[in-house]
Amino acid sequence: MNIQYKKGVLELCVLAILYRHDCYGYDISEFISKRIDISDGTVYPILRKLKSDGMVTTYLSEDSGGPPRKYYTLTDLGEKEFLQSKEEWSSFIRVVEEILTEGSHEKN
Amino acid sequence: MKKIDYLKTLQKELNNNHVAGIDEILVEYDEHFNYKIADGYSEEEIAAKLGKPEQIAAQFAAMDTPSSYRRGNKILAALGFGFLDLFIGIFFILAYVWVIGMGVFSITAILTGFSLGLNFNPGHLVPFMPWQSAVLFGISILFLGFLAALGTIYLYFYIRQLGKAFVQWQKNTFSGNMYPPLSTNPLFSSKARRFLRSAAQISLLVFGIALIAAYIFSAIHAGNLEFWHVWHWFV
Repeated sequence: MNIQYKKGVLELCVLAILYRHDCYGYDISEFISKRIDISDGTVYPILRKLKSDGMVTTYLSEDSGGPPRKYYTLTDLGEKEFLQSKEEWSSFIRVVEEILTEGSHEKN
Repeated sequence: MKKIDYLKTLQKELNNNHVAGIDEILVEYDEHFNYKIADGYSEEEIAAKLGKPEQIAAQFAAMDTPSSYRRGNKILAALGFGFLDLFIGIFFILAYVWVIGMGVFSITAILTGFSLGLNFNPGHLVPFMPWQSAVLFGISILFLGFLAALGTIYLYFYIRQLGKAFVQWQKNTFSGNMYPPLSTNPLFSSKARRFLRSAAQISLLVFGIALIAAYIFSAIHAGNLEFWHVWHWFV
């Protein structure tokens, strides 16, 4: 798949993961790079961008007894942004799907 | 590449790209290495899967510079948009008032058309004319009303879309072009578009033909091209 496509979608994926529950950076990186063919390091710049845009914030937590982990969590703005982007994305792919299948109908 | 070399190169590249908050970034990648090592990967493997430090640094630079640059401009942009919104707001209010005015006109025209055609004359508002003229004028005004109603519908959707596109543009200016710009033309389904177009064409045609027919019939009936003088209209 085209790398430019992926970059735009990755932001949405990160928001989606954080919408379900708070994660630390490594969690998100692992989750995505297991499913999408990108290099592991790509997720961290996205997290930073989302943070500087006010979509996510971080907090430290020492849950498993180890060293404190930096958790990412969605802000209210991030949550709003995610729900809206999700809506837009769904209607967008619906139309793309329509266009793609219409094209194949005409050929038949 | 070993972990220590990877982090050093990354630090150097981030420095070269003038990225802020480098320590925080390095901690994140250091942790990444630690987690992966705990899972049994070799440092070389991890480094290879992370991607080249140069590329990672370039990604941070691409995401960092515009946002810090944007922040300074945001206050100015917000001020500017405040004033802009004031004027644009007035424009949109006027536009919607125009839509309402056009809607009222179309309803009036449709009612007038019906009352002429059905020989309904409340308070003797309609001047004298033979019933055939009344029917023809009635049909003509009725379809003018339909035409205006179609225009009202289209204008309403056009202004609504214009408003949406404006809001999107404003949002984009703040978020650094995160969203694709919207079209300023309303998006109708092809069925609705075909219906609107043929309805407008038919309305225009009937309006024109009925008006000309009404004029010709009235002129012949009154025996004068300016039949309204013969029937003592406008006095």
